[in-house]
Amino acid sequence: MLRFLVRRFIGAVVILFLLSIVTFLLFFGVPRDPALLMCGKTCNPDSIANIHHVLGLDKPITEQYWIFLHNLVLGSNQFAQGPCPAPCFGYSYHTNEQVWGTLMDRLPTTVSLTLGAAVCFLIVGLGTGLLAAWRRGTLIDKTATAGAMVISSLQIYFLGPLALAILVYQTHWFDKPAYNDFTQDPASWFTGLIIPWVILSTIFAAQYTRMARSSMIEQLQEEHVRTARAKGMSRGYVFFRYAWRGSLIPIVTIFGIDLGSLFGGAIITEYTFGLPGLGNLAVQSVFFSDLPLLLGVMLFSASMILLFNIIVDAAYAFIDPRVRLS
Amino acid sequence: MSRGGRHAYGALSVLAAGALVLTGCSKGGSDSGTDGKKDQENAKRQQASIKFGGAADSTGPAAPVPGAKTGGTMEVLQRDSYAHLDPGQIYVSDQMSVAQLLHRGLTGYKATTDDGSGHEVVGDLATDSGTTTDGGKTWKYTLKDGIKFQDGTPITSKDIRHSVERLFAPFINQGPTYLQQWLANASGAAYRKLLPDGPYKGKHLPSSVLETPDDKTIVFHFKSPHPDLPYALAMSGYAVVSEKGDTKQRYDKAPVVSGPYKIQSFKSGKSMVLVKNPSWDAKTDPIRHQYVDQFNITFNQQYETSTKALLADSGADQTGLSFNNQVDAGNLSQVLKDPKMKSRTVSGYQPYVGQMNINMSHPAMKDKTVREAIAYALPVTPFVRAYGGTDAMEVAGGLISPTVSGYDPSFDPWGKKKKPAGDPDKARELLKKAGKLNMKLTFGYINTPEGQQYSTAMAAGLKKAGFDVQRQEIPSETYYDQVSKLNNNYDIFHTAWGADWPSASTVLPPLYDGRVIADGAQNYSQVNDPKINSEIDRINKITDPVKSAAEWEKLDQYIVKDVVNVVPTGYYKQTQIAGSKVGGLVYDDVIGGVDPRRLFIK
Amino acid sequence: MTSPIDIEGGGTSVVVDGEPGPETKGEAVKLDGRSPGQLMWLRFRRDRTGVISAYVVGFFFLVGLLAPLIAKLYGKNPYTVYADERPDLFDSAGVPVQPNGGIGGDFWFGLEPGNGYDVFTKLIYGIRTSLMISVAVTVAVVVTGILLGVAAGYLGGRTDYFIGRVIDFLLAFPAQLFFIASMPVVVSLFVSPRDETPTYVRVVALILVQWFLGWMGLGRILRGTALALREREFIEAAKVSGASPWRIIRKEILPNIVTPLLVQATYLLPNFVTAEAGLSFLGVGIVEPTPDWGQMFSKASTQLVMQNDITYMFFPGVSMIIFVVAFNLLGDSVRDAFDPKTAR
Repeated sequence: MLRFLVRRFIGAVVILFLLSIVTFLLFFGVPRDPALLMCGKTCNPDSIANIHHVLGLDKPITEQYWIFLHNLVLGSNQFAQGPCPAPCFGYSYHTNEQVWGTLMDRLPTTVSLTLGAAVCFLIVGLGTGLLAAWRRGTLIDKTATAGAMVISSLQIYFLGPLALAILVYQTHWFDKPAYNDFTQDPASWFTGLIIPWVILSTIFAAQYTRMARSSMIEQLQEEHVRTARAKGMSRGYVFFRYAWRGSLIPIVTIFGIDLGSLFGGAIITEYTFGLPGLGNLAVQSVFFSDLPLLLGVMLFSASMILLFNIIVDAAYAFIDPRVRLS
Repeated sequence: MSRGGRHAYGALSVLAAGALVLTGCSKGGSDSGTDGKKDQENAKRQQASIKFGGAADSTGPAAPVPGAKTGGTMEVLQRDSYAHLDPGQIYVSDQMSVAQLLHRGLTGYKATTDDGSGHEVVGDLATDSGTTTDGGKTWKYTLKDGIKFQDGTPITSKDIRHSVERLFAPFINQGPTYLQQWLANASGAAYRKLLPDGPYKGKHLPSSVLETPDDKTIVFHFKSPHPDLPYALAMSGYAVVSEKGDTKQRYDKAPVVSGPYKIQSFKSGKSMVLVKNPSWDAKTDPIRHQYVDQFNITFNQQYETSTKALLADSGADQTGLSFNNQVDAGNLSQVLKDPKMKSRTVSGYQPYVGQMNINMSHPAMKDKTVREAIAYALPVTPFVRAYGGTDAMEVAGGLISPTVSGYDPSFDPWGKKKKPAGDPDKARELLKKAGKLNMKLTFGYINTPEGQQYSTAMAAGLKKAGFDVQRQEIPSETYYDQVSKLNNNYDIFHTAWGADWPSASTVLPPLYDGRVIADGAQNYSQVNDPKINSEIDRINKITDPVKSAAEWEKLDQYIVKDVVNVVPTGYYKQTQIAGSKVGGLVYDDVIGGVDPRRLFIK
Repeated sequence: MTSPIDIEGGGTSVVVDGEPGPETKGEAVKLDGRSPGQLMWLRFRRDRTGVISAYVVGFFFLVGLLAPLIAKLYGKNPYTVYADERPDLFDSAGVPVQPNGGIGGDFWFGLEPGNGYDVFTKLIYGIRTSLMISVAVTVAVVVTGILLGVAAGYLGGRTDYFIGRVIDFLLAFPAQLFFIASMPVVVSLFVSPRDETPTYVRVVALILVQWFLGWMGLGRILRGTALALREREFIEAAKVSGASPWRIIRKEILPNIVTPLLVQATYLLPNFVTAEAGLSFLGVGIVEPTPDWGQMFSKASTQLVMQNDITYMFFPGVSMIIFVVAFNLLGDSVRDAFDPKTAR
């Protein structure tokens, strides 16, 4: 187990390293110059050159990349804005804030959004899916399947504005979604996130319903389940004792992937509802050609994806004793 | 799954989609109030001419606001966190608003009326708005007694010298550059050569430029006359910085302040708390008040959020407002229609004037008939629409905004106020006369949602008049850089310009003086007209601000009507709302928003 | 956000289907004397849901294809600024004065708040743009998937290892974030920043970025299929008889991967449609005035529309739901037709 984890983590670091290079190169392909954004109202070639120098953009790209890596691992005291302990992604070009601080600042929003939605869609999605499988062929099953089919075809960028328009702007039943710190005001934390949770988890729940149903039905046709039934065990006993555990395996995989990408920033959801999470930060950093911030979000998101991949693989060993990690 | 099942869910899918459709009905749009009435109100609301005050006007304390009480906490909802608090870096309107409470400069604007329209430039830290004996080449200021920074250290001429010298340091790159250019007698960024490292490496400005003979006296020496210095020094960008407390880049987050309020805490991107500054003495300050005990500023409040909270008027929001957030476009007409809500709002002009530049460096644009055709054809309605309708944008006649001395509301040479959608027939006629029907016209537009929206519609309007319009998108963050390049290939492009102080001397000379044409300069249309140039020189020498205002307006009319290198499009307006317990709510034309200095809690 | 699920979810089930696939067909041919294609067609025709879905999907493609003709018959185009042509229909902020966005005899689907474009023509042209892009991405992804997947699976060894690592690497990319970050870069590769960006450049850029991170799922599945096929007797036989690797791939392997390929492609295409719309929604895809499905959503999410005319958002919204549902149902039917054994 330990060897497996160590190997996977080394692999993840290599991938992150490559990803940072790609992002770095990508940024230097952008025709936009961050200096122009910082230059102010009276901008001219001299002041642009000056800003280039302050930001270190006049150095060759390899050197810039080396400085970036160095700072990331060891931190830096070279920044004019102040010290920057490791992991140091530098200071944002646009806000002059420490990138790592900004990421940690935005993380609670994304985590709240993701966890809240995940709880909803797991309970509703798995519940509906298993119920549909249990009552296979009945009206319940058909309604659930049809509903799931339609709802999983919906998109956040349609459902989100629709919910906002109806619930917020037309009827004024809800406040516009916003993030409030849980530790300061749990009630407004909850009310501020309720619409995004419901919308995000509606679409995911539909997908999980479909997955859980088909996975369960597949399981019920497995031999060990059929054997158990043949031995005279009741349907309910088999269903809840044997089959559901096996049906979880593919779902855990997908769930891990979903969580990973959501923790890295649910871009469209956060953008639609104007939530100040990592996803919105990413969009913002792209629009402002803010390389330090972009690199920070990119690497953070990728780390989340990789981390959850590893967690999923490790989780297999617990759910399915047949899987041996090597 | 069974076959039958899928038929069922196919049918159900259609039903579900149908159910969604049924809920999707909407009412139509409508305009608030009657347009005629509003225009009259707007015409009334224009900047009265500003004069420079003497020692008597500059003595504190400020005249009390009628009905004002002290005490209480005010909630302030702001959209953007303050990226800069270092005076040298402040040039953005929301930072300038909060700077009114924090920073003091040599001069400042004193409100002479209680409605925010009358102003006078007076001495703030200085005893008067400045004295000159040679028509604006040498300016002398004397500091008041009893002026202190928040840490209790007295403000001396050394601090003023330091504040000026650090403007030349490389890390100061966001603020205004008027004073630096005047001192160095240079244009563009060439002023930096005067003191490349600022005061930080032991070098100082020579006394032939800046003189501080004693602790109280500051003398500026310019090579050419600059009668506008009292205006310029009133900008937050030229407020005082403590020499002892200067932490260079880090000053931007924690400045040592001199105004009536100091920063108790500042969590960038989240919140800021301002409390009374005990070192501030009301007797020295003719401009500011200190009624409220504490300001709690919350950031990341979008326009809809702050509008909705303030409309609801419950709990802490009763004593809430926003210094800069506007009533959002969606709620605007509703708020203005309801007299109860409207009573809690203040409206006014932002300092910006929108204008369509015609690139005079392109051979095809040198034909005046063609430019006149553009002026007639250009529809202004798309621009007004994109910014939220007539409540947020007013069709412009000239280039001088209603907030600047000298504005003339009756000036409308291209009939935009009567025919805002343009006059394609007249334009087509002119184009035919010039023999340029179906000529190519490259239209550079800013790539924002608004820019995309109005540029497509403007292009459609110009096409109707017989232009072959080619739209080219320009990324929004670098838009102004692209259009201010001399060899840009845009025939027409839209820019907005706001006066830095309420005199057309910060509007017409930077935009239309043919001698400042350079890469990155603001003469976007690249017009070089001898009459404009000579008029600018002549009016710049007039030391009486009231007289010069009238002359600037004449020049404005000459540019728009006879040179036709720009077509004015709109005056930006805004409406702001506050909670029911907020007193002293006034829209200040110079600040371009709520005046934070007069606020109190009822 | 949602795309990896569907690709992965579809993927797992098809690896399972893919393996017994060829065998089933082999038996069927012996018994009935019909080709697998004919059999599949027969089974598909019997599936009423599948046929109806196919008609719906076909209808969308037809609408996209014939959009200019339909617009001509209808007498309008998606570029006319009705807010300036017919100012009586709008207020000063560009909201249609009539309820429901001005739906009526003149404007069947109403007018778009803002500049007042005709919604009906905008929608059909938007469908045209979106489908064009998605079909191109699907084709590019399928070709790449075949090339790399089959190469990895059949050649094995170092090639397999290398392609496998590339796939791992690309799967770790935060896809949507990468799309947003790379769109301006890709666009700038084609045009200098000072020139007009023609619509086709944006289209090509959208195709490229989606293709770049779109092929891995399919590549993995095809690798698995090719890997399984490699061990089969008929491949062994071909090898022994001296056929070149190229010939084996072309004549023996490719015909056997058509099934998972077709099924996967029908699942992928709607995903690309929604992903493309997502990018235009975020403002990095197709922009005004070029009509596009996603760009209509972006318009629908503005304050102007949400507060004044929610009817507008139903036209792109409902049409997209119908399209995606129909396409997914079609995908299920195609898979069932190929492989009636699968329980789903």
